[in-house]
Amino acid sequence: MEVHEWRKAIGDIVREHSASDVVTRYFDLKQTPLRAQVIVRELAHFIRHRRDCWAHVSGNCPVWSVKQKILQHEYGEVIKDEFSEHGHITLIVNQGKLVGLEPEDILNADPLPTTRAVLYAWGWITREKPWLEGLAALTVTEWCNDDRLLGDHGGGHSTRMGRRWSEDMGFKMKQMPNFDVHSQADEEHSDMFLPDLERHATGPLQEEALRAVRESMELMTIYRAGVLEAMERIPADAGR
Amino acid sequence: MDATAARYDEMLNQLTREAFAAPEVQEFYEVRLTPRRAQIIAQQFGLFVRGRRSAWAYLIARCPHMEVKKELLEHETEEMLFDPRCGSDHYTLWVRHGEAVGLTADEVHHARPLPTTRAAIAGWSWLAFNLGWLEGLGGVAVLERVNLDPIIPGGAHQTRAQERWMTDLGLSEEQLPNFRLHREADTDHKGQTMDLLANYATTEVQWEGILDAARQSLEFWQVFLGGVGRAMEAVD
Repeated sequence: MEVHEWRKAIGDIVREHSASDVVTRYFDLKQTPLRAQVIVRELAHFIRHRRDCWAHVSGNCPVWSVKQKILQHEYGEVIKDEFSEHGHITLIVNQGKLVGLEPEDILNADPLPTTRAVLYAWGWITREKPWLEGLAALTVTEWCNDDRLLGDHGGGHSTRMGRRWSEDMGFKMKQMPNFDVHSQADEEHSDMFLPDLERHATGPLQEEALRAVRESMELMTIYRAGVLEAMERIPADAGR
Repeated sequence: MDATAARYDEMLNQLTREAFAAPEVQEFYEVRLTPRRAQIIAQQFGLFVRGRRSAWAYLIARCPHMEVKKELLEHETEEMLFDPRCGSDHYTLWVRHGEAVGLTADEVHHARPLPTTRAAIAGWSWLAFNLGWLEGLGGVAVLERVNLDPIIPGGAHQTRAQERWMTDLGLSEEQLPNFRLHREADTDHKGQTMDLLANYATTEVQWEGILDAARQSLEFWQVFLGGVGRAMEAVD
């Protein structure tokens, strides 16, 4: 498949995920500071664990240019990029302060069992499966933040949850650095590896990469369902 | 650095010196260079630089400490993307060395690894993938010490190699940027990785694991250099 065909194929899978019952309920749930804390804590685990996964794909990948691209991606995420001087984990830590979390509340929190399970699953895919499947499984999660793809669904997930926090808790988008940055940075990241899929995911590898994309979105659904259920257990008026 | 770390630091230096005394390492430095033999070095060392990146990536993946991941990513950024000391990534320097002895960039990019090169690279990846991250780091990073003149009597790897390339091939230091760069870069890198080891190794068991991994890593280095040396002797 050429780049535009990969864009369509992955885009369709992401749109299907975005329109699913779980994701719809996730974004429909009224946000409160205590519920928002669940999102922040789990997202911090998710963000940190991506670093293991991308490094595994780089380790398994024999293609120099792809390794370089992953390193560029990771340099932006961990060290600095145009969006953050200190890596993206600081974005979620700063955003956590808005809803009453101190950095140690975020960085020392145990993950939900569902979060732990899906992170192990992504770790397994990226460590044990062929590099191309690992790459496909990772890159697709960034597509969930792509406003260009999901505009008619209310935007990518960062934009959509940012709006929810605005409506329910009165924050402005600029006050929520993680949502603000990821609605932009992940559009760039969405495009980043399409030429590599076109070049390397050919013949039988094409279907394997697409399967990895689908499996990754299934994991994303489990992750969101776990966060959603944890938030639903918190009464809307709790903590007032 | 505390006394325990200082003691193991010196033991790692001693292991490195012992590696220089191995017959295949000595033979590598004694082979008289010709352009064809230097081409083999440029190609195999280009593969070495690229192949070692997987080991470092596995260390980044497996280390649970974000501050360590960050340091390792910065290390890899210099190796793979841009090092201000040389104005390029480190692999590109081997392409330039190859060009200095008549290879095209494509001939460096598409070189076939010697079986010994392949085995050594697999060995370093194995250490990083299978040992604890700390022991893996100790093993993979010990090779930075082979470039440290202060700890190797008679000059370390870059110094000895540079001398051969300049004496036997008549090339200037400017045509051979890799040698100077690695003398400088690996002095910095060794200090950084030793700090990481000293910060995170809290037991003798961990230090012994680091030593054992370093011993294996230096054996892979001997395998790698031995293979390149034999391939050079087989030509001209």
